[in-house]
Amino acid sequence: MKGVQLDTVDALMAQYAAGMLPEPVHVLVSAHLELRPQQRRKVAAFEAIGGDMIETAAPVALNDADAALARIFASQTQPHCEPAPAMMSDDPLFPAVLRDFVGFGSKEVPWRRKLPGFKEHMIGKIDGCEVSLFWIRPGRTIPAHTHDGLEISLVLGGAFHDGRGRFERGDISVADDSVDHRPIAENDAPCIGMAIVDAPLRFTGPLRQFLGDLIG
Amino acid sequence: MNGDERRHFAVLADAVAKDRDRAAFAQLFTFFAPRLKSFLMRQNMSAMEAEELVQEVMVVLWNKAHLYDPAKSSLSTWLFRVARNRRIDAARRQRAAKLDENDTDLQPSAPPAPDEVVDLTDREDMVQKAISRLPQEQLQLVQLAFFLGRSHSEIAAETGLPLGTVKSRLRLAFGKLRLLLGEQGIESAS
Repeated sequence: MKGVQLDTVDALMAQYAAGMLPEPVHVLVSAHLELRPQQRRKVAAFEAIGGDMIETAAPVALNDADAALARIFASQTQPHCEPAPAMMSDDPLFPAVLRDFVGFGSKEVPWRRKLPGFKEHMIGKIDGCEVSLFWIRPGRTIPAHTHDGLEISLVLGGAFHDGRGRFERGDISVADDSVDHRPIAENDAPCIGMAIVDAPLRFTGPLRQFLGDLIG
Repeated sequence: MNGDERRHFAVLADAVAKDRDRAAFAQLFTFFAPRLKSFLMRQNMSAMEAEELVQEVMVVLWNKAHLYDPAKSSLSTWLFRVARNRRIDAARRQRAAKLDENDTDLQPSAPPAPDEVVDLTDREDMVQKAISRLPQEQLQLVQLAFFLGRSHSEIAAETGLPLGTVKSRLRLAFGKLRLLLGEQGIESAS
């Protein structure tokens, strides 16, 4: 991943930290972070920017601060909760957050053959995004996509390359129709991943806007 | 805000966690609640919604201050994270409830409680150092673009900067952060 692609992925990290992503993209970035834990450092930096923004904000008085404080002191001590165990996936391909999101493991995907050498499972339209899983036979070239929006994918197994470079397990690819995007799966293993496209007409949120900004 | 003030907040949070010290909490509340409300309103929340979320976040601080680790982040960053996760969680629940009416199969399983997922591999000082070295002009654009949801053209209009400068400064900010966080070193080491 080189050049502008890096900036686009950084923009995703920033939006993730800010809490501005549609749910499936949030899941995709969480899955990426499970596979690339060193990227958490960047997320932490963006979160610290958010913290600083709170510290330096011009205070706006609460309606009734004393009453608010009294309600807090009266709030029930919540039952002691242990911190959630560090999420670990025992699935060979799916990070835990993705397995929880789709509700099954990588061996139980109800694939449907779309083209010779290309299988897909449509997860659905969620939060303005069309979410799917893909499987590309080793060595197979996928014809240039006809979608005219934005496509974000996360490689979960194998690797593909296209006009921009090589993408392997853990890499995020962000492509729109300006990108020469004809992925070719590498020869040694099928390329498996999660893909999100902005569902036509419904996707008008900040993601579209920011990524459009960055790519454009 | 300097390190002394941050340490002071950490000491107060510790008193809340260990002794349920109301006076210490009141100090934190007096400082953070109006600032968090202000920040949320800049993120386009109404005053009422912002105040409700502030209340929720402060309830978390009162009851779960023991989950805050000053070695990993400043208290303000921890509160930012709690507020963000609560907001995401509320939106998800709302959507799940809607989906549920149509198709229960679409409902994703419950995620882990957001306040408890704090898994940072890095220490506060390194992250703080990195962002404090980001030039103010770049930091400001990152804040506007990502935390306040402005498009590049809105930022250009607001700041009077040419659109190209907005884009190039954001790219510079990303490049600088990568450098300051020592990303090259990590990648070549892995």
